[in-house]
Amino acid sequence: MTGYVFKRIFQSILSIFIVSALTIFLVYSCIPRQLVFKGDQLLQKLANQPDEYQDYKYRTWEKLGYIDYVSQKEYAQATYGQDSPKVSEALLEGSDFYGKFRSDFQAKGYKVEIQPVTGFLYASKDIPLFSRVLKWYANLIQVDGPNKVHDPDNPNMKRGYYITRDWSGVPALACSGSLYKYQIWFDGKFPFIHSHILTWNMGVSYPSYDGIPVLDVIAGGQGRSVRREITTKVGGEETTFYTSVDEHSLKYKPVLDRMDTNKYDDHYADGNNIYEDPSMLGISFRIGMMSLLISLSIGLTVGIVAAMKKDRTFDKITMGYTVIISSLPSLLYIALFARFGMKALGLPDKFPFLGSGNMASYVLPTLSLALGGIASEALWIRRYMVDQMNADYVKFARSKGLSQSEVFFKHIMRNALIPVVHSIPEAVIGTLSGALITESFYAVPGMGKMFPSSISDYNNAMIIALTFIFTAISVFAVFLGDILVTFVDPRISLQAKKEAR
Amino acid sequence: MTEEKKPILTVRDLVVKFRVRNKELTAIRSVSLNLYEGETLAIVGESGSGKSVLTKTFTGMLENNGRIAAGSIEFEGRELTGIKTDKEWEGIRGSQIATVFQDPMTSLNPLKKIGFQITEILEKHQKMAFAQAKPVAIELMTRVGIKDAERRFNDYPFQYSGGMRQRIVIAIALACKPKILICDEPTTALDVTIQAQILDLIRALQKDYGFTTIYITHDLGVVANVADRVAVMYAGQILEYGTVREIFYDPRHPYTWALISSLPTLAKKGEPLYAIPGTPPTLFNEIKGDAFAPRNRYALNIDFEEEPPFFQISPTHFAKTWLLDEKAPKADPPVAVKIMLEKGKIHQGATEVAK
Ligand SMILES: Nc1ncnc2c1ncn2[C@@H]1O[C@H](COP(=O)(O)OP(=O)(O)O)[C@@H](O)[C@H]1O
Ligand SMILES: [Mg+2]
Repeated sequence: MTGYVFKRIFQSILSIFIVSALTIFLVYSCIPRQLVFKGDQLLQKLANQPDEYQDYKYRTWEKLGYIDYVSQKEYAQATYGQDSPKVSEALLEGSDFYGKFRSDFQAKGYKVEIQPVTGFLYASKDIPLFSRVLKWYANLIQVDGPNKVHDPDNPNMKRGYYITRDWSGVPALACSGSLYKYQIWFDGKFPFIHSHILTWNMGVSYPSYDGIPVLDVIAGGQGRSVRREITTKVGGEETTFYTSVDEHSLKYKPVLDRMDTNKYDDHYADGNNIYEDPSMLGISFRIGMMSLLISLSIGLTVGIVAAMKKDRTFDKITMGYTVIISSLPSLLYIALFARFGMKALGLPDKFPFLGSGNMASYVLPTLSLALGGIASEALWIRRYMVDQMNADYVKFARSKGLSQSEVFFKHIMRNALIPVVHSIPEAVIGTLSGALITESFYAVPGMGKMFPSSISDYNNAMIIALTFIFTAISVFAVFLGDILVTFVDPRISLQAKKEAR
Repeated sequence: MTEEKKPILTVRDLVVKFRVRNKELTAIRSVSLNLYEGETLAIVGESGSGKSVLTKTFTGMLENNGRIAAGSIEFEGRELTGIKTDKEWEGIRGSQIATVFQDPMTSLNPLKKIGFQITEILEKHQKMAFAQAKPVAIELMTRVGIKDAERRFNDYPFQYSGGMRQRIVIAIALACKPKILICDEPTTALDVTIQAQILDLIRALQKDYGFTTIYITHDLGVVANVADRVAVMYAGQILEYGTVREIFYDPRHPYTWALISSLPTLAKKGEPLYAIPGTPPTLFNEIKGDAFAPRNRYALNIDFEEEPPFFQISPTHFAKTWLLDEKAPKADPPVAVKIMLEKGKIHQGATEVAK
């Protein structure tokens, strides 16, 4: 059994990696790199400064991992030292450095070009697709520790772990010399124990949410920041101040200002804010989970009752519903449902009207997402139940003298549920893809809405990160389905045990 | 001899019809039958002749599109055709009349432990608690030949072989000590050696428990080993019935002759096995005369015109064929039947000597 579980976990991870590697390949090879600037306001302002325009573009490409880029000035600085007078000499017209730059970089396979106004040289080289993919994985998991940060201006920094208390007075493991101050801490948020020892990194968002790590965009709070009063010891003295910073996110900050030294004893002064609204991930998770539970519970109940009352009115209504839902385009029935919800029930048909703090905002998006799931769960369980009703073991159970309902609940039900358990991953995946539509329709600030908009923004890092997350959820759901099935179906658990041997 | 026995189940002029897409087919066409306490009655006939449908009416297990159009079924003085609700049937099924179906591979719920499938009905019909039912179930399992029953109580059907599953099915059927056990082709799906074991088991159990058995088969060969009496069915009717001896050694209906001719044990080496020519009539139309007439090379003109009555051959032996009428010409039965007739005489001699 454990052998089987490990094998499945390995397979799951492998398939996540394959899918995301494919996505990275596709994103980098199919989307023309010119398009990434589509939403960049700054670049448009540089339109009549050709040299700066070129430099900005190449630097951005370098940042996004497309190319290696070196300007003549950078190379001079690297050759003679940062502040050497030879640097400006090297840029003068007629200097030998031009020839050196050209020959050095051409030898390394770079393309050398000339800036239109100043005439300075610059060299660039495409990073091969394959190493772009490898780099993405190499940076995926960041390890933090006391030897992480090396600041030339702070050479004598203490290095090592220590126990401290956070602003709420809860004990935590902190570290000096690491990127993050708090390494392990506790709070009231699931899963209650958190760590910075290993962190995920999927690159930096661009051009939307420019400069913010994509995972902070997806998993960080949204809306207005929340300020609160904090009383803590600074420099040995009890100090009270207002801040919206989440102390657990504090990172090493090389240059401190007065505001920082008023609040912090050390160099860990760079933190994220606490926000009013949950993250995209959080909002999507709430809506997705609720809708999944609703589809399963209502869909299965309705389908089972329909099977028991086969060919009677309830069954006919149920079948009518599933036919309508599966034949109409989802956008159409969602639109009709939203209208009904707004006019008849007075619910908001756009999420931001009442915002994430109000339960009413969630009702229509959740139910809309569940409409399809209810239909397909009801259809399938009914079909399986009716199938089972004609099985030989059901005939035999009836001939034993069991009543209709005993046969139903003790014999048919579990048999019919097996294929349903098998289809739970499908339901999860259906919910994910349904979320793309409902979240856009109701303007829900979730991952589902983020996905199409990151595609239209050409936000490559975001597209890759979201694909990775969606794939991981789907693969995890398939894995979970397989494990669940071994609990309901004795035949499968034994096979698995045999396999494991 | 059989006359003195008390019938436990009496069927009179039973007609069963099925509705199939706005048409009606008649699966059982006026069948009458006595089942005597403690005997084993075999019902033989080609598949589709109505054997299963006939016995399904004894437990109210006809599919929803079927109905009893006429006739009566009396079980221990109780009229079964009047039962309307499943609730009433629950008191008969399993506890009074139990059924063993053809395919042991699919007769058990694949997801429930063997033990549960036995104790379940003890709990239901005998109002036992699980703790009481468990030892009873284990004893039943041992009785039907499951070794190490205690341990195997918690196994699932897929951990059992086909033969063992059929033993469990029999154990379940007998758990509540029913008065009648209907075995609907219980060994058809099993291989030959296991077939024989299951037949032995049923016979031994019958001796212990004293139930009455209806044994359905399309294989006349099996019948000789299990039955006291035989009823031969064709197209929803019984054509001939009598003791095993009478049916084997003194058959009278040309259809019974045909069945005997197709017995593999009587086939000569190298000759193809005899197969009855033609196909059974469609049950959607009314059948005129003797249903077997179109496939019967001994058919008389009257066989196509008028349905024959039952002619009595002995107090226990009846056949429904015009060949037994005084005015009918003498028919020359097929070779196989003659061999059987000869054997019958030798047997008779032997038993007489033995006396
Ligand atoms: N539920 C049903 N609907 C329609 N026809 C049926 C049904 N059950 C049985 N029949 C018909 O009744 C006839 C007798 O069937 P059955 O008793 O199963 O034959 P067998 O002698 O092989 O057991 C067959 O022609 C069969 O097609
Ligand atoms: Mg049958």
